[in-house]
Amino acid sequence: MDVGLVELEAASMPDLEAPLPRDYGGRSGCQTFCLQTPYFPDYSQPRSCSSPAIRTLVFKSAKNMSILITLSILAYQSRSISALPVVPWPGSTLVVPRAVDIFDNRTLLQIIWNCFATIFACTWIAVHPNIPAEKDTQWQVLGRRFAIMGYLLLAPEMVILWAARQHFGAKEISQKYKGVFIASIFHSLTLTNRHRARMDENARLFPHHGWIRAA
Amino acid sequence: MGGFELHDGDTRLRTLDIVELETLEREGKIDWPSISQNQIDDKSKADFLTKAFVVVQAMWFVVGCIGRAANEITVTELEIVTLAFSVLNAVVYWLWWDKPMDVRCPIPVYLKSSPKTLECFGKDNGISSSFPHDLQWTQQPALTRTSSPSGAQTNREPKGTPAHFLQSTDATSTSTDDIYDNLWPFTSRQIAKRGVPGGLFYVFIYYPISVLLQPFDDMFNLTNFRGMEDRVPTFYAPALQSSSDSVVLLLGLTIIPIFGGIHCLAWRSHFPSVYERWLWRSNSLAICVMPFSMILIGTFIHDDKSDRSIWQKCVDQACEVVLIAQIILYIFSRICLLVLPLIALRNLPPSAYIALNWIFFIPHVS
Repeated sequence: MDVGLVELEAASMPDLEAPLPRDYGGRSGCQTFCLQTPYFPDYSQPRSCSSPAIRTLVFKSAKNMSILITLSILAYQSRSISALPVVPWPGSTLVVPRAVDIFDNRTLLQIIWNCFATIFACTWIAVHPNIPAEKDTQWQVLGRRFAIMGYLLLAPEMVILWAARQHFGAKEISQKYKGVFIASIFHSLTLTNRHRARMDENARLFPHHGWIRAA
Repeated sequence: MGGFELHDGDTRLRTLDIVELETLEREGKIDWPSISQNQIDDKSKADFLTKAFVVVQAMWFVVGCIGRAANEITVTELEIVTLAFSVLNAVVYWLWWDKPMDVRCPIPVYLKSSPKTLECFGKDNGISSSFPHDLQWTQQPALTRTSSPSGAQTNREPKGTPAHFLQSTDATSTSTDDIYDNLWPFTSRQIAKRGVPGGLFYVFIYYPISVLLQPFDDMFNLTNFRGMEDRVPTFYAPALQSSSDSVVLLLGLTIIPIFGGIHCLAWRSHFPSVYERWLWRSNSLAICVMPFSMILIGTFIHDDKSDRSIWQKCVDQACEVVLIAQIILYIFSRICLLVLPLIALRNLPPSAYIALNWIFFIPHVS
């Protein structure tokens, strides 16, 4: 057992001569329970502390609950317990408790996915196109949006300039006409009051006319 | 933009800009459209969740990158590019926050002066003619359904029937498509006009480039509808007062170095080869500097084309050529900066595969 352990350890140990990417302050995240250090990931091995394993434990049978409780207590106290290292072998369902560490592993796919999701959110969802014509098809509208997205990828500053012109243009217009709009509401309100009796009659004649304008 | 559309009863006439809206209102042909902010917000297809998703995703990404840099783990070039987009996205989002997203139907503005409706309702129901609008609002469509629309006299003179109107807009809005559908007639016309080499140059080099570059010019200064009637152009924005104009320019001038500067953050980072590193460095410097020189050169070009001396014409031509060359160079730089991070993924430094465990930062017992 001991010999096998040493061999495995030697296999997963990094070249000590190679410079470490960072001084981790003497902390080793796995301490005694896990042979895999998080700093030099060994991708050929499945991750020992994976959630499917926990799920199997939880859902397999209620009998295993006691194991789960024991393991969680172990995990809780993992800093103070010292024991022989447990070697996870491929396909094992054994849960190896591990201390929470500041560093973790990630795969290339995770990097790409994370970046692409963010770029998608920033370029596709953030685009607010102008109003299309009524005869425009769905594809034309979509194509225009793709075009804006392409220009946002190519020259984001230019698109920002365009958005800024729209923003400040709309601001100018709304500031200029805010008062006018309120005045028009009051205007129609007074008119409405004056003509209330007659309007009531009209509302009876044309039910869908109503008071919507005044409200 | 392009949220208001002029209607004559059932017939849609054209999209209104603020100038025409003002003119029509002053002439008493329309009532000022009263629409509240809630009504405008209601047109938006993006709800709170969509907006929150983008904001949270971008902010989370920025925080993650800062965390990686603070712990001295590699931030890959792809992440640098994404970081730049996230920061710029914050600005775009702030600018477009109140603009409703994906509006499909503009708000109708109805022409007041249709003599028939006035006749009908003014007399029969005893409503004074100063108050015709509320009736027209709902009643006019029912009336004009039987009669042809008439009485639309405005400064842009709408064409009589709807069919004619549609024809005319088809001709203007799909002219670009027509050219590529009928490449040969277009080419032969240009050859007849400019001679063989000139025509070929125009059709195969000058025209495609101008089509590609036109939006850049539009984004910078398109304030009219460019002959379109049924919608606003893709990169339309209303004309600004000079004070707002300078604010826009100032915003652009601050954004440009920020965007380029974020790319420069990867100045010393790991690249698979030396060439890629220097390509990255030169291109990120280029996108910092080039927009400034473009703006500078743009100021030399005269806006007024009518009275220029020969000398001024020569200066303008030279400036335009330099400007177009710079824009093309700029696009190449941008494409480089988008492609380099992707091909750099083939050989990442080991610490790029380390992730920060955010659970560690949440207060917990261990």
